[in-house]
Amino acid sequence: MAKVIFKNIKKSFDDVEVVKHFDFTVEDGEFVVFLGPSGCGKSTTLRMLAGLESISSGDIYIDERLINKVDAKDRDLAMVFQSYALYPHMTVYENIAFALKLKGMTKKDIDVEVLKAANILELEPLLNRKPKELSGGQRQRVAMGRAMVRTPKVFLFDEPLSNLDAKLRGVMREEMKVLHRKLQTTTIYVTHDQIEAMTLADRIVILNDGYIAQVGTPTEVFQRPANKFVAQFIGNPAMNMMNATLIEEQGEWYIQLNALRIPLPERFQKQAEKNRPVCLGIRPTDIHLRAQQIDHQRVFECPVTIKEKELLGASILLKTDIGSLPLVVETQATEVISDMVKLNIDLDSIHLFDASSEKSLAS
Amino acid sequence: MKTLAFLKPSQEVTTFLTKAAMVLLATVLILSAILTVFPFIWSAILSTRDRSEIFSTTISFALGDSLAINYQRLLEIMPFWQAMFNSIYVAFVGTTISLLFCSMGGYAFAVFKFKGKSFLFAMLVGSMMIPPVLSLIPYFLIVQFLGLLDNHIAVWLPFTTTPFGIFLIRQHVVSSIPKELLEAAKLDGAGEFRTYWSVVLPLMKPALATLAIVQFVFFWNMFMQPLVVLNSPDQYVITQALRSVQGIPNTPWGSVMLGTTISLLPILITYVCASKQMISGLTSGAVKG
Repeated sequence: MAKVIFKNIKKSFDDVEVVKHFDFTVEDGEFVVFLGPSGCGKSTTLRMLAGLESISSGDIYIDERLINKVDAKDRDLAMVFQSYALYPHMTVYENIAFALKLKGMTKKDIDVEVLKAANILELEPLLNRKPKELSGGQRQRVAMGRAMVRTPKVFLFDEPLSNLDAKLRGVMREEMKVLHRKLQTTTIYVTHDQIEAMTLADRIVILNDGYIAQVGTPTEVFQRPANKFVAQFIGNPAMNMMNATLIEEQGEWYIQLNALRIPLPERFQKQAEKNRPVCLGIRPTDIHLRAQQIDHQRVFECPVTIKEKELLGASILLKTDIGSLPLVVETQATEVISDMVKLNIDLDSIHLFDASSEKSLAS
Repeated sequence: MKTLAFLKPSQEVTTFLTKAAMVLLATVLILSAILTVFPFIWSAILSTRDRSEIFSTTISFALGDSLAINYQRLLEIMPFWQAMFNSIYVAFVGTTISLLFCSMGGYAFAVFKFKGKSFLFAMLVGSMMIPPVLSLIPYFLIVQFLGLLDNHIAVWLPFTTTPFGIFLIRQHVVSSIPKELLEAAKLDGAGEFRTYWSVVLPLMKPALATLAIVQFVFFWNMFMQPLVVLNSPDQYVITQALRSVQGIPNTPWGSVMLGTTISLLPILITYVCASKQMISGLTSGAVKG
């Protein structure tokens, strides 16, 4: 178990700057997820910590010890790769035991450790098989077993579930969560899958284009996105984003959406300036067909005509327009009776971002 | 298009042409195989005949009855088994060490980053273009300088690091050994040598088997180099020993043919053993395919 500190990390490959500025501390025993689209620098950051990639500038500390120049094999980290990277010529047992053998442990101790890990991951019947005789999920578990037996300071996961099918991914997610609860080892997990991030993380670090876009708990990043990128990246279906302007009339502030006027909630009024261009963000799930679903009075009502419907099962996606701008609403499938509906927008849940800096205007 | 439809051959014609092509191909292949194998079979047949039978004008494929006499004569005219042993020794040691050196070199070129790597690799590949005969005199001078004349080390050591071998292994590592495996080994705590020895080497088997056959045949067939550096008959390798008796009066050709036939056996055995290993696909299952 250990605390990991990244201090002003940068990484370039020739002229291309992949990680531009990364300052972050992973607390002891924490489960942190690096989340972001492809090419945002999340895997590179992880590989720098692992020692598989050199650091262009900045420092990385594990438990106060500077590890920039420490060889990968001496960093005492265990990593699970996206491709599993099992040694194909070794059996499952040998794969798991390899690191222990290198540590110079006795055969008897190795046996105990391997069987313990195999027991936790239900790999006992597979110990004598070679990787090519295993299914994707089993290989994944062997890779985890290999990392587990080492009892490393930090676990690193580089998109470990992306090669599995959706159902197995759910099962493995659950298993990883249980495992982390049991072992309490500091864990850094890289993924582009927001469901994995939301379900697994104590804290999520959202990266965009080599910078940290936001750090926070899953609830924080979902409910209070710091900028437009995070707002659109987190949540499925994505947040509705509409260009608007702030206006004042007779001492009252409004968000002007073409012909439509929505009263400006109080939490944005500190930042309000006349004619300030903004982006209005509303999650499809924060728009309701029945006013009773919102337990306060800060609601904006708006009658619309539904243009298209997409049934998802229990819920349904409705596509419509407000203020001549496209809007997606997610609601219970049973609530939609006619194509003419009245939308109730929960004003406590809307988001406003500055049009140029894209930062949240909420105070 | 309609007007050209009559040009399209019918189903029967296509089938017939395909069959005819297959028969032609098979004939060419069978003829080539016979042409390749015939000299070996002929030398095996000749090794059972005496001199007069060998030089008779009629062509016959019948086995003669002089095998025992030829064998005895073979042992009289040259230290045959000593030469065989020398050849086996040179080929075995040379092949083993070249597998080690070439796999290390190829692995280094494939994985490590160092200054001048491309230049060195280009030099290495370029050196394959130099005809071996051209380096014969420098080779002799170096061996003489090292004081290795008339020593078997001079025959195998200089040829253990071959550009072809390094190139072959490098290509194999680049194309069939995933980078993640090396990284996983590193994180498991393996140093450079341990990664090479425990992870990479076992996965190189198909390439090593190919290289083993190539090198074994090379060392076994070696003639010019031993001829230049080995002088005493008890140091001779088999090619040299068989050649050395061709100058004596009334060369006992039956014996020479017998020696040649026996000398083919180690190569055959090597091929049979290593060809099984050549089947690749050993890395399947390493990473998600």
